[in-house]
Amino acid sequence: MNILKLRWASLGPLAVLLVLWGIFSIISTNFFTTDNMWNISRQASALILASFAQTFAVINKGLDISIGSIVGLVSVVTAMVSIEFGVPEGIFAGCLCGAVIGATNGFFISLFKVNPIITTIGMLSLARGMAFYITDGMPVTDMPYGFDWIGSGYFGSIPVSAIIAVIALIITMFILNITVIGRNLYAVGGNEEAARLAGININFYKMLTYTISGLLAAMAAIVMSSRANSGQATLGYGLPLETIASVVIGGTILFRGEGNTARTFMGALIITTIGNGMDLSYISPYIRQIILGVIVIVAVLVNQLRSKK
Amino acid sequence: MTHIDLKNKYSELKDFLGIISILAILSIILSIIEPRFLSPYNLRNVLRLSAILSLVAYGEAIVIIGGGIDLSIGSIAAVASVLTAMVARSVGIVPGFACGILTGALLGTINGVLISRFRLPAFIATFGMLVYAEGIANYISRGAPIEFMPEGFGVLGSGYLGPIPIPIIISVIVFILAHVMLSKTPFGRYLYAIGGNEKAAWLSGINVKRYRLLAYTISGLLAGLAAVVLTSRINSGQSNLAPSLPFDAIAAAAVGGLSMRGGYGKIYQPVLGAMIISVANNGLNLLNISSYIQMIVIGGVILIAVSWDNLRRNESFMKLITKIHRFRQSEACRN
Repeated sequence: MNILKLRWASLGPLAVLLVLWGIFSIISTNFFTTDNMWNISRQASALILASFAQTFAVINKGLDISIGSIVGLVSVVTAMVSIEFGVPEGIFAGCLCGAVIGATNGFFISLFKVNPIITTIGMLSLARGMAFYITDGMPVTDMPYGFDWIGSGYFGSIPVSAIIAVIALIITMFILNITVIGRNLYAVGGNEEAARLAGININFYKMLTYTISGLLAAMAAIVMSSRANSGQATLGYGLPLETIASVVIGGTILFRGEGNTARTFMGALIITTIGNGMDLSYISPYIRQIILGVIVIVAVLVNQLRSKK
Repeated sequence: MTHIDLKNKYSELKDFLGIISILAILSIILSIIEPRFLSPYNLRNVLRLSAILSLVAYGEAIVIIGGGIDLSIGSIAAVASVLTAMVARSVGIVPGFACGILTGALLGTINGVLISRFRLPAFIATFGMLVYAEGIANYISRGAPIEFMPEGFGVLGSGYLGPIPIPIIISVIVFILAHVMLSKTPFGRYLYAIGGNEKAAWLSGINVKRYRLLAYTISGLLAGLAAVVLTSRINSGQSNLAPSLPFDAIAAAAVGGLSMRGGYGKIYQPVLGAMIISVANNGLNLLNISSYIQMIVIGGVILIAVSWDNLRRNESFMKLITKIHRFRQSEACRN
């Protein structure tokens, strides 16, 4: 691999992170404390998982806009099943739900050849509507004991959700870089026609991409619901933008068939740090939204300039 | 899979008749199930709303024909709504309306510049705009609706010119302008060329950048216009004016038969699509069906409409359909 690319890919986002730490520690004395650092890691875990979901779609040269709505739907499904049957059953149901929605996306994208962006836009509306419909807009509360362990629990002094995020990182890196499935995913994303001619089953891998995406989104939903100790249909509203932001800030260029969960991991950390820092600095949430939107555009521009060198 | 060209002279007529019949069937079923649908009050309402929706559907259609997509029209409308209300309250009604329309055009131009000059993917630019424009709208209005509009502010949205509601007149005027622009002017032809094959268009000397920019400016302007009419209708400026607007606009375009690939499409398609969507929404409202189901329906409609459009253009699928059709015909003959 080109040494120059390697250096930017791994050091660029890291440098940005360090600079951010510097800026925010100056603005707010509360920033650089152990408590806040663990806070950031807990906040970041859900975004990391959701951004991994987005990464798979990006590798396939598409985007998954429905991630936020999948999170909302899985949140309520997990909560409701947990109340009826128990927490492990709830988690299983949630993951299944996410995988099914993802597979539906994949179905339309692969078999009916619908543009992934349009498909996931349609699914965004559909899934969100379902989530609201099942709960009539009310949050699902009275969760059984143990439901909040994943989101708020600790393993020693390390938050459980942070551990889950790191495990997800290891597993996805393994799949993408070492297994044949990963290689084929990159092949299908990079040049679909060439992959088809090489004998790879395009439809299967497209379905797989979006199913994995749905599954990871489900995991993010479980972490978030556990943290809030309730199931909410409104969860995940900002996720489509935040996950794309994470992918892009991590250095990935969109619509190229490239992508890498390690880079996305860094990107998600940066986004969470920015959010956390802004919270501590009492900046209006509206300003925060404006800044986030602008950051995404700037990051994409920077990436594009970089790729032209 | 190969992509067929539906350039057959009769196929366009068939498409048009197909969509009109869907609208007719939907309306008939609705009037049977719920007679209130046919009340003059309700019909005027539906027409008014579909007129407003068709304004943004035109803008979206123009962008899609040119090969792009505009997701930001909901937020552009929000900013325009808030600004219109504020200016109308402090300066005057007409300056308020003008301000709203110009804001829309300005935001649309920003989209266009990012997409054409900076070569940002259309999706990212408009999605980013969706996010920060909403932030701007919320920030300016401090999250609260702007009320206490001066007298006469509601004329545009709720008023009549004779027996016809004003929004419908506006929509008809825009329709005529859009139709002329797309079919008679060079701009329209260039737009189809860019949407059909950008490289070829560029190689034949068309200034792709300029026309792309123009398409997004128009889309923003129409979103601003729709916002002004809607704001006038509800007599207050709101930052969450129409959160489902981009979905409705895309759904309207898709249902109307507009190809999402770009390069094809007629201006009657988003109009009919807007009417179908408005009738469907109105029906769901009359039947007291939860608005959550409406979200599900819109999402499903987008998926089905675009899938159908794609399948129609797919050679193997159409061959399969004709085979089944012929088989059924021969069965009937034998009996």
